[in-house]
Amino acid sequence: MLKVFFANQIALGCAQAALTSLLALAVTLLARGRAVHLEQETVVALLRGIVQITAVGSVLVLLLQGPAWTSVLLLAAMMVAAAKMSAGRSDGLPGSFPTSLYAITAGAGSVIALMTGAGVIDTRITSLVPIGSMLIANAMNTNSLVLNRFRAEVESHSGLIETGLALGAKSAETVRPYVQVSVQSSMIPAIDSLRSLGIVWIPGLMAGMLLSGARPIYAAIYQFVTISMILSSSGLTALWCSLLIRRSVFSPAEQLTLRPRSSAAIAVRRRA
Amino acid sequence: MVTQTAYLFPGSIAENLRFGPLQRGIDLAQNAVEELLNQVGLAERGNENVSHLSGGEAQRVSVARALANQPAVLLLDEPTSALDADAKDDVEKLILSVVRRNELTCVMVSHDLAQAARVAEEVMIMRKGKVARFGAAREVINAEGFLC
Repeated sequence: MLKVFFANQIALGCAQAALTSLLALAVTLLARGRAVHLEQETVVALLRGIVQITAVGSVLVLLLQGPAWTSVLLLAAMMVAAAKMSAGRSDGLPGSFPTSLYAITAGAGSVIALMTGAGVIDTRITSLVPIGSMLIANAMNTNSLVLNRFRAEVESHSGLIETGLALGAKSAETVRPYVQVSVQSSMIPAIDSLRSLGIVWIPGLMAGMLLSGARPIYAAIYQFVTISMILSSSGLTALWCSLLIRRSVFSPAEQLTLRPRSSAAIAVRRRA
Repeated sequence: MVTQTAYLFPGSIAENLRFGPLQRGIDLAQNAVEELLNQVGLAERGNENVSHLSGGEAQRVSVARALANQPAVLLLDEPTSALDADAKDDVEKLILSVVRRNELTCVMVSHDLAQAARVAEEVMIMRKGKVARFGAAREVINAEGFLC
């Protein structure tokens, strides 16, 4: 219907972006009715998203014509940005930025390096950067889920953790169940993406490959390849993140330093 | 250490008692578990799930779990403040009996001067993080204006 009103592609794109943004804002208003406050965060995310992707899209032609080594710099910059954003989700968990950086680099970075070396990912910048960015973005999401869930589990079980420490358990042992549940729950999106591939969703990568003339079967298989790589990089990221972050909530003397926040403090932070 | 809330690990009473020694590589024998349960008045209930216990029973398990580590000093952080009057009385008597039987040094935190008068030999009163009084229980508590 929008195409009737907007012949120009850019104008059409702006109209589509405005419509989908309004939908997102409507959802935040619905959530507000349930005392879940996402307004500020959603508005900022929408604005950042459109500005960032438009900026990247504008320079993409230049970037993708650059030498192959620039892809390493681009991916490295993406990992740092991903770590910063992910750490912001941890609500002040100690050491969350270095943990996120190591985990995302170890998780996504190692899979990108291995699969590029094995020839699964083409070394051309036009392949390496888009596919690498998918792995990094998914690793970032997984990392955020681990941090968020781990914090919640430790806060709500601080009594049990301190009891375990008082009875002589090592700190790693006291948080082991919460590390496990954090990793398991963070992997749900990646696992479900693979399980539902082709049934619930047909990813854009496959559509793009078909449009560029690839054989349909190969496009389908490569889509599976990409989602599998996402699963691997997300899994590695979750494991590294959980290993590193569990140490950060204890002092060198193995005292639990992460205290439950009061409900008043949480409410004030959410309103802010 | 025994805390105000008895944080028991999911599982059976016996599994809770075995937790501490397991951290030191010791698998508590069944008769040792039964002996601990006898001390706290929960004989032959080792296989019961802790989710079915009352507040007083949970504190008894908490005491037994602390004793399983054969401590030299028992630390109690307001162990009866969350209990009703009957359970409080039972747990107080249990603590006295356990401490005497095992010849333990016991440090108990309480906001209840009457309780301190009942169970303690020496009392330290703290105000704003500083020691206000310390000495024999009866003398200190009387000095606070609470006759015992």
